[in-house]
Amino acid sequence: MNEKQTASAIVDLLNEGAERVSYKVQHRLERARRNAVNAAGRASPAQQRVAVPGEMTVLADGTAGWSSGSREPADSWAMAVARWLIPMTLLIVGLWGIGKVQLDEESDVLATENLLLLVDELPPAAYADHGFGVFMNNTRIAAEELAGANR
Amino acid sequence: MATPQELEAFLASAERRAFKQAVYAVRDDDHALDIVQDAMLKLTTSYADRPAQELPLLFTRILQNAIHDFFRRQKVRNTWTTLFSSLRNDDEEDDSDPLETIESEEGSDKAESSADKVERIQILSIIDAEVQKLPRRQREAFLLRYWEELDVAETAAAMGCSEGSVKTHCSRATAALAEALAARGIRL
Repeated sequence: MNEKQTASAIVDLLNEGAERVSYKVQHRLERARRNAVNAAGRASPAQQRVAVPGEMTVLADGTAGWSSGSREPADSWAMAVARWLIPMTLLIVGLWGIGKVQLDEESDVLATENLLLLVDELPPAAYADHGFGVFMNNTRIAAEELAGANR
Repeated sequence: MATPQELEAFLASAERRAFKQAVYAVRDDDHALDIVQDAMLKLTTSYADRPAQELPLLFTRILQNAIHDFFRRQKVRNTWTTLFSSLRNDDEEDDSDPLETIESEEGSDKAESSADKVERIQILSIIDAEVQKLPRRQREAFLLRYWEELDVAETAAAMGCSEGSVKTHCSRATAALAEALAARGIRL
């Protein structure tokens, strides 16, 4: 069998397979077809497509041909820009918001530490001592455990 | 300009082939149905003013574009579904349709014995599987050229390649399918 005969035999089998689609698929295809035909009736003349350079045209001998390999301009450039611009904008705004919150938190911590340094009786050099920091931490933990035991 | 009757007649003749082509590409019945539905809507809302003889080519091109758009959207969607897949409960959905269990008694199927019918269904399943296994470009060329009955120039325009490429793809696809079917014991 040559290529055409082989292809023809395979196509016959493909056609037979296409006829044996399930009831569910048949029903959905029929519903989709009805909706599409009804939508054609509802589409206004302004919504219907006008000839755009680069699309299929009917040639002089009645056959149809493609003037270029370009795609139909289904999505306008505005949709293409929005598809990238909106997520990028949200990302940038989100990152800025996170950075601002972190900066505010760091400022609050620094302000609290500065306040403690100013109002406390201990000299600032005491806070720079590592051993003193460990002593303070242990004292705080012991106080929290005592408070928890008394509840 | 195509009349609504011509539109409906064309879609009725093309819908099953379109569905099968979409299934071969995306390998999922529901997605394929969505693609065909979108392609039909696109044809009837944007190209209803075209003559009836232009509809087959237009619909073929719209369907191919819809399939390519599906793959592009899947790339983005897969990123999010991977993140949220642990939250999905797969036990909740029940897509079974009781009507699917009812066999149709009409048509030529009645004349087939049960064994013949099973064998035929197996053969058709094998054909579907082998067509799906073809490389994408070979499958597109074969289906457009031989199943949709476009000529070489039209197929090349629809695929965005040269006529020589179309012939090469068709030749390789046909040879691969013939060899695969022969290996499975199916005589054409």
